[in-house]
Amino acid sequence: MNAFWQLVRQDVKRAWPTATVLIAAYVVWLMMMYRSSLQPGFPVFETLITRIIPIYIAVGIWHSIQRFSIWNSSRMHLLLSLPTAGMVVTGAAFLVLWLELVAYGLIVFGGASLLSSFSGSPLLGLDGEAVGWISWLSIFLRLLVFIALIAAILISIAQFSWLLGRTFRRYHAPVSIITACGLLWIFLRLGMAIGSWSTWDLPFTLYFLAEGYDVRGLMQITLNMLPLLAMLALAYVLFWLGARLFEARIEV
Amino acid sequence: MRMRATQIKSKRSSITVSEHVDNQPIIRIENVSKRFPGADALRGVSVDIPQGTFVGLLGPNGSGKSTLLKLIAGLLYPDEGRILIEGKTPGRATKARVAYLPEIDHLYPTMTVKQTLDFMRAFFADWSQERAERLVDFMDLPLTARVGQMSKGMRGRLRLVVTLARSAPVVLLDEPLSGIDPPSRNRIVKAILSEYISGEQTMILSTHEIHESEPLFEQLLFLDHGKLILQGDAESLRQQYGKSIRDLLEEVYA
Repeated sequence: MNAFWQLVRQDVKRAWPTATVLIAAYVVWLMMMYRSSLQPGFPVFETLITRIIPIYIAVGIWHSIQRFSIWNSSRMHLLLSLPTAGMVVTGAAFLVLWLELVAYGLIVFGGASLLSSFSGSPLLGLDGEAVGWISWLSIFLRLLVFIALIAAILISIAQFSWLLGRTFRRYHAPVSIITACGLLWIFLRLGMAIGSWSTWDLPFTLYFLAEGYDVRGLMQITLNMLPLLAMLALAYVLFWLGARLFEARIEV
Repeated sequence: MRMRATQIKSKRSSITVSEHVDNQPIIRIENVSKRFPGADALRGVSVDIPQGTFVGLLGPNGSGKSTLLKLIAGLLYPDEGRILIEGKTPGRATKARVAYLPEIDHLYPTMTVKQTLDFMRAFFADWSQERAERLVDFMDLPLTARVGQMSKGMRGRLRLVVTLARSAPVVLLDEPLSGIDPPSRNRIVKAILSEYISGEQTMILSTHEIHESEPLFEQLLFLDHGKLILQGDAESLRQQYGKSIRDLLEEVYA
């Protein structure tokens, strides 16, 4: 097994207990949501906006912080003494965290969608009967790609911010937080600028309930992917800079 | 142990000749300073370390020994001055040539001994599996034992195994005997003696207690408050001051 996969293996071993607990918690929560969604008048879209997305993002951020905190420990003595490119170490950490966040996305959004399809009260508006299973799968895969791209961008920001903060001995935490906030602002501004310039839409079909179970309908929304792709390119630059920092500036 | 130390010395005498011919130190430290918030860890340290010598880096706690080793290992960067290892500044290339044993437990606690060896083997081209297995056997470490569940002495022995299993030209041992029980200390010293490739490897061992390790040293560096206060050939220092290194250490830091 080569160096990169050894590091991935260690990160997976470290991550799986927490990941298992989180996934179990998600599943239990989804089952509770499923029961609630059977009640007439259940606020489907409000639930999506106010509960599912914030919880997913909060867990993602918390998990990122947990992941990079390992680089504060004595394990850093080992990682920094390895004669390997910074890209290998940061890439392994990135990959495992990214897989985790995508897995959470799959469970949270996919699970919610699936359960709501069974209940006839679509939580995410993806109803197999209404749109057909092939279309449903296509929509779901697009949603997964969307989640994967968002996760990659967020992890790049978190990783670079942490590494930059680590180069300051006294003000590690404030530098990391300020950098992360500043980068988020830059990414959003970049996204808006690109979005206003041009579009490349990815359509999603939503099956919605207007009032209780009486009114059903199909609605197609589109997501402009160009801002996301521009942000992804910037995220790669950040990842590369982070790897350079790791190799050339990080100390124990 | 003493007999082995004598063997090292006899081997070294021939190496010394070639050193003088080459006149190329394997490690060159030029006016290196390192500051941490609230403390100067190293202040203007300069020293050349020739190839194939066993160097004792001595000094009390906080004298800058670990900082100096981390700088050589590439885990820290100097604020002033420079360090050259085989003519290169510490980085990815030199890390392949330097085996570093840190003072703290740096191995993954979730790994077994065998997994730890497999992990290290993946990174180092100079890793000798045969040597690693021999050392594990000598150190009496069960391959299936999990690092996090081992005693401090066992973890110290494992750290030494993964360091000595490499045939690196430079070996840095930061306090390998610190806090280790006497039986483990003896094993560690014996392992260092048996695995040290005299004349080829340059080994730097830092310590603030010199009991078992005195016979190992050929060169000595005395650090105090980040400054190099005394250096020289161990035998010459013994003759010059008319006392053992242990007594000299006590006198220097009294």
